[in-house]
Amino acid sequence: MILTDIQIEAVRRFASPVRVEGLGAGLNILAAPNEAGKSTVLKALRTALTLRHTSKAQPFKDLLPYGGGSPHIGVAFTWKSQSCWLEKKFGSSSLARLDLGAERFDGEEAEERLQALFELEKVSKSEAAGLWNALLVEQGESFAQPALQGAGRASLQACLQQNIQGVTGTAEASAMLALVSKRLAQYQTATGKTSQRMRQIQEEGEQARALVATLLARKEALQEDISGLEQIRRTLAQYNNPERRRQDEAKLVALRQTRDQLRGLVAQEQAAQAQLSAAEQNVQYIQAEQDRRQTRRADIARLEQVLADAQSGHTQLSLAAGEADQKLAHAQASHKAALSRHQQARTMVSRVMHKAALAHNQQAIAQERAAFERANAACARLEKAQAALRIMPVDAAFMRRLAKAVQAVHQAQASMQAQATRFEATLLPDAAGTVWLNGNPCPVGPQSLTDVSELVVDGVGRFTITPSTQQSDALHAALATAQSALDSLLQEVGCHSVEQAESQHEARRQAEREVEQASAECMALLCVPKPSDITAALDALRQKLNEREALFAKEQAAQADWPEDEGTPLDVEQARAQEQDALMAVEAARAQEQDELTLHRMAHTRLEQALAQFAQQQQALQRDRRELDVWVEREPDPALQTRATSSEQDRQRAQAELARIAHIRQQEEPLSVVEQGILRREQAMEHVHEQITRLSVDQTERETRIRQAEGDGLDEQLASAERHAAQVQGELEAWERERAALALLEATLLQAETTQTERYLAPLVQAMQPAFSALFRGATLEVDTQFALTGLTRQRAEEVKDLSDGTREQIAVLVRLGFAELLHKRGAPAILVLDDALSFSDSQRLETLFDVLSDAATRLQVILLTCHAEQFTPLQGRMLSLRPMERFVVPN
Amino acid sequence: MKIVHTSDWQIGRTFSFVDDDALGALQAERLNVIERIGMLARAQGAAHVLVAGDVYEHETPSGHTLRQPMERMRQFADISWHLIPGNHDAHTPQGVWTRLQRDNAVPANVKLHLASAPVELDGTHNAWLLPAVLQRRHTLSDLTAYMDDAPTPEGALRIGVAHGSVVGFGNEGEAQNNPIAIDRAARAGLAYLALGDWHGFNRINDRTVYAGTPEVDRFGTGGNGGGECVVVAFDGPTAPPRLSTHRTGRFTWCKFENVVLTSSADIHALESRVRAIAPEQPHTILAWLEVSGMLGVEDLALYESLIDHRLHSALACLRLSGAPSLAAGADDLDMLGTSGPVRAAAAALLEQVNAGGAEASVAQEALQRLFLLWGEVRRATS
Repeated sequence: MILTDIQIEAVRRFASPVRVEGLGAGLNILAAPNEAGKSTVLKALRTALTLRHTSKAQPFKDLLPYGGGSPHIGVAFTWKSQSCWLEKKFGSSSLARLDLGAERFDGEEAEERLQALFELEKVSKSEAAGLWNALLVEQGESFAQPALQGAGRASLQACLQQNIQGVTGTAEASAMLALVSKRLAQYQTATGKTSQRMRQIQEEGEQARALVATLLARKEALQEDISGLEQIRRTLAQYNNPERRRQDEAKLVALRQTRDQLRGLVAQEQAAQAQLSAAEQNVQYIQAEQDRRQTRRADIARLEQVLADAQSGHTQLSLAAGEADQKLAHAQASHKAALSRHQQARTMVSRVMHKAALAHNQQAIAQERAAFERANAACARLEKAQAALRIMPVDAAFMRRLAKAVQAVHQAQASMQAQATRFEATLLPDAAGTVWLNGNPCPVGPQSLTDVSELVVDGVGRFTITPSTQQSDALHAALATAQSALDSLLQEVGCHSVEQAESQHEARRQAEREVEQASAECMALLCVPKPSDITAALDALRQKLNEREALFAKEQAAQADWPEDEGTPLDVEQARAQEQDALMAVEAARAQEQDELTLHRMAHTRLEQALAQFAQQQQALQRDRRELDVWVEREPDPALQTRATSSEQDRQRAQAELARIAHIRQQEEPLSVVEQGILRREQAMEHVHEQITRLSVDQTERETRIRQAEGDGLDEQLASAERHAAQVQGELEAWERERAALALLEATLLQAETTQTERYLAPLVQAMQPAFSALFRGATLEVDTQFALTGLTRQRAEEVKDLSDGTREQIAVLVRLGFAELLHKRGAPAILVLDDALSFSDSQRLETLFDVLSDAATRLQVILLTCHAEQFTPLQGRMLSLRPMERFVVPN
Repeated sequence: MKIVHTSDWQIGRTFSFVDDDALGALQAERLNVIERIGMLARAQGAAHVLVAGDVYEHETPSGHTLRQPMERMRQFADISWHLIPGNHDAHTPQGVWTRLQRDNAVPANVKLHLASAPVELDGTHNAWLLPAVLQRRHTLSDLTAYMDDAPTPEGALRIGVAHGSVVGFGNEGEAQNNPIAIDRAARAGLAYLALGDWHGFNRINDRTVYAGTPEVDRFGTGGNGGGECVVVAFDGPTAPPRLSTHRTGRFTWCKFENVVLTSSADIHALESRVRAIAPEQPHTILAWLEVSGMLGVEDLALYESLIDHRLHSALACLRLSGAPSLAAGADDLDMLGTSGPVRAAAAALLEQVNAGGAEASVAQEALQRLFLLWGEVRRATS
């Protein structure tokens, strides 16, 4: 198939006719700047193939020119060596015409033939689709591989099936799948959800069941209304029974009469009760008055008797009081005498004890005097020892200084010895006395020579030994200095040797021990903590002793003034025994006085109480007499007695009346019972009235409801609703069965078709492989059952979705090219149109792609639409142009 | 003297298994049959029509439904229509009879018998009617018992009318409700006991008869089938009545049980049997087919065509219980081609069918549809 001409009029930007000039076999390139109308040309071509000329849908609206008009598209092509012409006009004067060589088809027939020729399938009311959708690649579509469905998939399967032996029936399977899917769509969506129609039926079923439930409830309510209405009618008939009403009223009248009689009796009873109460009150009052007067008179007599008795009692009490006064005076005198004797005894005890104290003081002073004398003697010894110590200069400090000086001498000598020349002589036994060192017999054994020494061996000669030390002079000077310091130190204390100094030091330490001993004795005698307090303590002791001796002398002088004791002088114990005896006598006299005093108080208290009581009784007697006189004066006793008799008679009459009334009431029902009966009947009648009213209202309401339900034909409605519900349920179950069967059929067919498809995927890959190998050397392809290239294996397997945008576009273009090649090979019309594709490809890839497209263009027509003219120049294809026309030209 | 005996009109009855069109026709015919009864009475010279209960289907029909039969009877002023309550329309408080009286909807020529007491039917023939009145849907007592002692003039023609189940007639289960003694006519000295409740004509004895419904309303009517009325002729108070049945029903209800289909011949035969019920008026047929069996692919398509589609459209109602199963085998798969996805899918489904289990029935349906759709596809592509 070769497109030879495309004419467009009134399509989007092309209000006037325009023609694509230059179309021919092989590679065609329409290079034009942006917004020149390239995409519109492609859209027009696609629309002419896929959109019904009668369409008013959105694709038609998308075609409409900006200035208005009816889109008009003409496409000329050659097919099987025939010149063909497709013309479509949309809008008010729609037109469809297809000329296939000499054959001409118009209108719907043209549409059908067109769809058959290009293997398109109706996908909506006005649109068809097929594999051609994958071959006319609009701007932006080239990045994705085409998604094949329905007719497109069937076309490709037909292409593959033709070349593969043993693979048949894919077209039928696709057709069946389409039918099954179409039918299944009535029951469920593509995702398996319940379809809207199914939902409607389900909802209808629920509504039907709800209606049945409602009607059943209404029927139950109606039955209740009917039974309730009958009950109401029976009740009302009973209430409205005239005989029953007459009997009720007669009974009520009789009860009211009884009640009135009983109320009269109650009034009489109350009056009699009042009279009885009054009479009893009077009787009680009079009785009380009489009792009160009698009591009062008895009280007066008793008081008079009591007063008479009290007179004699007063005399006896006075005598007892006088006797008690005397006894009290005698006891008080005895007590005073005992006190005097006790005082004397105490004076005697005091004197005896004072004398004893003086004697004790005298003894104590004598002891203190002796102690003082011992302390004084010890102090004298201390002063003497201290004086001896003070004249001894060699003390411990001196000895430390001396020791240092001796040590300095020893150190100087040691230093000199260290620097000395060692000399050791071993003499033969015969040589003794023949060898002389420094003029002395030469000692045997080692010697240190610090000075120039002379060794003389008799018979031999003289040897001078000079030590080799260089510091000899300094050492000798240091030794001399130390020795000098030692000597001057010894001279300070008048000693000429260290041993003497040490002897004097020992004498001083002896004197110090003596001083310490004397000092300790003094401190012990004077009881002082430090030796420095000894002198002060001795002076204080002396002063204290003198003061006590002076005080004692004064007390002795005072004792000399005391009177001489009569009789034998008493000692302290005897004096104290006498004082105790006197004290006990005082206590006995005081107890006697207390007893008498108590008796005295008791006697006088009784006398005073008797006198007070007597006075009170006298006052009470006078008061009782006055009150009795007032009572009798107000109502004399005879009058009171007369009134008492009259009141008693009234009381008896009232009691008789009450007994009579009680007797009558015993014959009748209690008033409360009668009144309750009346009340109950009145309430019952009132209740009946209310009930009649209420039941009448209820009756009316129920009758209204029943009439309404009757009018509605509730049973018929219910039967109809149940029928409807059953039908809907049946329909739903049938639908569900159908849905399940269709779903299973669809799944099974799909599975079978997929299995079948897998068988010819290899040929598909084989068909596409050359083009891919040119672009991706050594690559193997992976195609899925949806005819999509999913993977590319070069050094390693790569998923297409992970590749770059440019590579994915190249793959998508090659896949579409492969589809076109397959169609072409099968003998079906096929071209490839790419709009603004491959813009992301690098120059090397683009070159290779150009080679692939050029190669394909030797077999089928390829049309490239681009705004990059310079990039596509190397292709060397037919350069197309958009040329405006005066009018749309239909080929002859 | 002649009377027409009928019962169980059951006006307002609905039928759940028919479509709306058929339902309307069936309901309309239950009213139209009243006219045919009236015409029958006129033709037979019967002045009285006894309706032995169940005039209405529901206790609370709509006002329209309530008045429709009254108006149909009003058209026959020369005929006296005698109605008693049945178990469907018992004389309950606020029941249909009370409503009719309250609404003054009862024509003069229609007599409602709502009390169990003798009523003079025809003074000329000294005929007395003894109705038994149901006052609730079910009673356990025999309401006709009063007839034994019900006084009527000497030499009177005593005609009883009741609604219930005759006891001792092999129907003890049903007879527990609204029982009627089988010898009531003899014990009560009745010349005739007109009964209702059974929907098919049933002659219990010479004087005790169920007339059945005048327009059939179910597949199993009992008795000898419905759609008839009984014309009773009396030659005297003691002479046995002369009975004759007359068809009044328009629709024919027929149930075919255990129909086993195994071949195309069976399918054709079935269609013929059904159509033979009323060859001239298949639209008056209501058929209930209990179908089973196994059919091949072609025969199944034939079944769908002849029975499911053609016969279904011809009849007033075609009720199907069960369906023939697809007896597809390996040979049947060959019609799908020697290879290809469709054949593979069919083989897979057949395997599921043969495997049995819960999914087998769905697979069977799916396989059946596959073959049907295959036919469609082949027709479309050929």
